[in-house]
Amino acid sequence: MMKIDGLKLIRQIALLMAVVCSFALFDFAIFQLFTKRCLPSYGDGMQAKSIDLAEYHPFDEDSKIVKLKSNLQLEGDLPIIDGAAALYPVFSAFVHANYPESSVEFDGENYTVYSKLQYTNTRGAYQRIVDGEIDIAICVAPSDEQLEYAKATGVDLEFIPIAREAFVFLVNANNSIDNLTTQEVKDIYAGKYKNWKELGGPDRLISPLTRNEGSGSQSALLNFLGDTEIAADYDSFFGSAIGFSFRFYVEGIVEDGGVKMLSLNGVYPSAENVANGSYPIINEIYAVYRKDNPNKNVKLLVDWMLSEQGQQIVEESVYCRVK
Amino acid sequence: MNDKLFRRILFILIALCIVGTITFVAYSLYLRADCSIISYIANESW
Repeated sequence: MMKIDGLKLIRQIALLMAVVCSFALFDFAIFQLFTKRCLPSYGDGMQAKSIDLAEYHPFDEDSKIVKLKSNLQLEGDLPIIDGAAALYPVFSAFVHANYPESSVEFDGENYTVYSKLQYTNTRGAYQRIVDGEIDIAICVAPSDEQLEYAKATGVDLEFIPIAREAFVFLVNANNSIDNLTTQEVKDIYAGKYKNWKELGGPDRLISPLTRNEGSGSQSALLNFLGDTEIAADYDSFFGSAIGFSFRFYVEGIVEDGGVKMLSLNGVYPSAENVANGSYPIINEIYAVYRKDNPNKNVKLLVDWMLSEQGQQIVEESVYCRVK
Repeated sequence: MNDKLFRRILFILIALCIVGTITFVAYSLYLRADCSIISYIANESW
């Protein structure tokens, strides 16, 4: 009788352990396939805002921005300037060059409402320029939705190109693919290629990533794809991803060795190839302002961005000048 | 252990595991919503 009870107890404990192990295995599989990929590779500031603002403050001694004092030195009604994460080092340098230090207020996490320098990334900046909350947005071209919002609000925006930058496609550094044609990239997003093997790479599913509508790089992707419809949002858990960003954001700001930029049509997105125009996808970067903005300093500052000094900041910030 | 007690323990254990798994999946989805494309690609398993 004792022996039977002992066996029963062992069976019961084994069953309980089997249940726990089954759930643990399931959770482990989710972690390996999905959660691990979503863990932040960078610091909290970088993760939350796409850029660590503290590294590029306009008036910090150890700031990474290009420090050049301009001849302009704005006075009076200083334009409020905002823009995209990838361009924050550039417009922070513009502020350093032209604004008094007292015009910028940072509370440790964000710029205060009194600060003439703001950072709300592309979507925030386009919303705020139309709403009249800021004076100048430094961004890539807007999405259709953002243009429609401006139109619906009855706001005319002026877009002045002040720099150029390569729009790049990224894969994991271990992916053997180094080069694609622009047509192959379009076909990947159209769903014509499903496996990297079809393009001479490893036998892995392709997972083409997209971003939120209205983000600068998502708008750049849609511009690049043109009439090509994105097949579906098949954000495969099992595939090996292809994503996109801007060259300097990848190379100069994030600096993550786990990804690599792809050559397109055999041309690598180096600063040199962007400058000489051989890289096939180059985006204009705009200073955007409302045409009805009465602040005369807005035009003065944008004109200065196109001056030798402004373009020098663009170039030394490792973007490509337009002049 | 009698059968009634065993069934109770089994039920509680399964319930705890289900809650734990749901929490873990929800946390993963939360991370995904905040995750950058570059992180997502860099963290791929090879």
